[in-house]
Amino acid sequence: MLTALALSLAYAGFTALCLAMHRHHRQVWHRDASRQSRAVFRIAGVSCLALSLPVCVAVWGGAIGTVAWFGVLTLAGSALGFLLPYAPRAAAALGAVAPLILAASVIASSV
Amino acid sequence: MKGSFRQSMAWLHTWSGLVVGWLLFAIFLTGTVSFFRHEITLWMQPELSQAVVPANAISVAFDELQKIAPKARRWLIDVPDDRDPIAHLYIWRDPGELPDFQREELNTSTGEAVAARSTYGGDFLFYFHFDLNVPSIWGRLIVGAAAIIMLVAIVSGVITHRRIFKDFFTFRPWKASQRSWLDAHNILGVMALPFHLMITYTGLITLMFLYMPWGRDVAYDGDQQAFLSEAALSTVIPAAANVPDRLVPIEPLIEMAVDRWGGDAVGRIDVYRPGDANALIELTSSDSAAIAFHRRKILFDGNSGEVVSTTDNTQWAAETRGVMYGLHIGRFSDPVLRFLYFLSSIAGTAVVATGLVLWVAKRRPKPGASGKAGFGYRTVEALNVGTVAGLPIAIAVFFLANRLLPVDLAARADLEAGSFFLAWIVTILHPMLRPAARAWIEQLALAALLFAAVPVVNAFTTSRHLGLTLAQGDWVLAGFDLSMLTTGVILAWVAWRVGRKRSAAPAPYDSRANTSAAVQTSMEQREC
Repeated sequence: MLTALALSLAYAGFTALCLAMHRHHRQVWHRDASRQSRAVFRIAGVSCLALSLPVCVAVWGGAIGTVAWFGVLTLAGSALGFLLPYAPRAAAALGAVAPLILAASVIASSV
Repeated sequence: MKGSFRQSMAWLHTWSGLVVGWLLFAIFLTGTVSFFRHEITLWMQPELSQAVVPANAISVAFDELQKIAPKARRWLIDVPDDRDPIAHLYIWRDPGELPDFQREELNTSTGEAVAARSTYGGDFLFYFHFDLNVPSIWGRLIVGAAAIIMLVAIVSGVITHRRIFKDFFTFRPWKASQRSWLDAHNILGVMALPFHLMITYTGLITLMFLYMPWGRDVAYDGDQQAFLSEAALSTVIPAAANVPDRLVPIEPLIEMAVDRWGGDAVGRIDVYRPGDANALIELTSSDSAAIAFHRRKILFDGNSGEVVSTTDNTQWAAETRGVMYGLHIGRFSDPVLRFLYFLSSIAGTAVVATGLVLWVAKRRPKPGASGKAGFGYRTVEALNVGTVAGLPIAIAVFFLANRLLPVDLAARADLEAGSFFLAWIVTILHPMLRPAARAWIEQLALAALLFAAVPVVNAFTTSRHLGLTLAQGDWVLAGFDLSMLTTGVILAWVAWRVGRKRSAAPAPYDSRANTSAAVQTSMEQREC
């Protein structure tokens, strides 16, 4: 479950960074991103990517967790890149929804 | 090679990638499957798969060795674990005593030797990965040279990729084939870049003393054995005293070692001169949960059980190498992490494949252009088909041969290996006789068919078919069969895609030779 959370956070992070780019923002919403929303997407993206590291460390420990983090980033980024042209809306929605659901279920299972 | 720095790098990237591309594809693909080397071996010896490892497995193995070779030069026990539940016993005798080498696969839960079909199993692909099954050191030298050129290709590729951040997520499958192949090449190369760099560099580290022996030779004055002992890589086998003696019981030694290693299990046991007064017992830790490929060892006096020496790998040079080595082989990894390694490694394989395809796509003659394609162009295209589609065919044939060759055939393992190479040679010759577009579709379709056939043939030739293994939760065998099916489906999809693209009107050839410059307009033109 934590592994899936790390993956979804990485995916969400890449999605946000991706939406901060005009090209991909248009791809999803058919219009350019505003200045503010670009800034928000950037901050959210970097935060989510950064957050997935401690989750990986929680699963695998410090040394192996770092190695695994790179693998998680690779998988999340490639998945987004290959999903985007086929289903841009769904790809973006997945980035917003997946970490929320997984975070909720992690919290629910630990209570 | 002229013009700007970036153009020089583009030239370097193109040609360095091409000259070793086919070899790199083979190295990457066999390396990728080698992450599942033990699982492959278990599948290729279905006779072994149902063993359970009991708590006293090591004593059972020890007793068996006492029985079959009370006196020997050396015993080696590969201790069974969850991934490989069979104890592998190896016996070496002094020259003149026969048989001078003997091996046995022991099921420690029943205490009986298992008669498994003869095969190289996953080791065949594993060794191919770094020595191409070329005897002598030439295979390793060739692979090393290819790895060094791979490093050149990675670094020059990053420099060439001018829009590395802007195109980070850019994949446009609806574009002309050259464009979409380039996108795929870029996205897989960039997303898994840390892995590509790590795996190529650490791959060189694994055989660093072969490629750069000079530092070691100077420091140890050419005395290799002194180096190996100090680096804890090998132990000198003592001479026989020719005075019989009894070995100590093994359990207390194991307890002591596990205690000393903080709970890490014993992975390997070497006994030198068992039954002799000079006997030594060496325990080696198993691949553990640490990244570093530690081989911690304790050497005991075989008759008194006293500790002779320990090699806790703490020197920083050895530790650094251990971490690099460990990162490369990824044995520390749990199933999830192994799967991530596998995916990144597949990405690496695909980067090489797309790079090869791109070289051809960029130089494809314009429709209606006069004259035939040049010899170089046609050779590259044929080798591309014979490698990218042909090597998977050869691997599938290797698996099928394992099931279809009679179990008790002489030289069976060599015939399996031979069928692999024969299939590969045929797939390289075939596209030289067929139009390239047809050859691609035919080989991809054949590969799909062969992979899908593996679980089917398995069901007819063994009792361990998918219906049974899935129901029993035997994930090694079920996982193998399912992977074969998945590979078959993916290859069928690729064959179908290639076929559809070919039958559609030929895409206009993109004459803008400098590919990175051509990206500019693309997205703006498309309202999605």
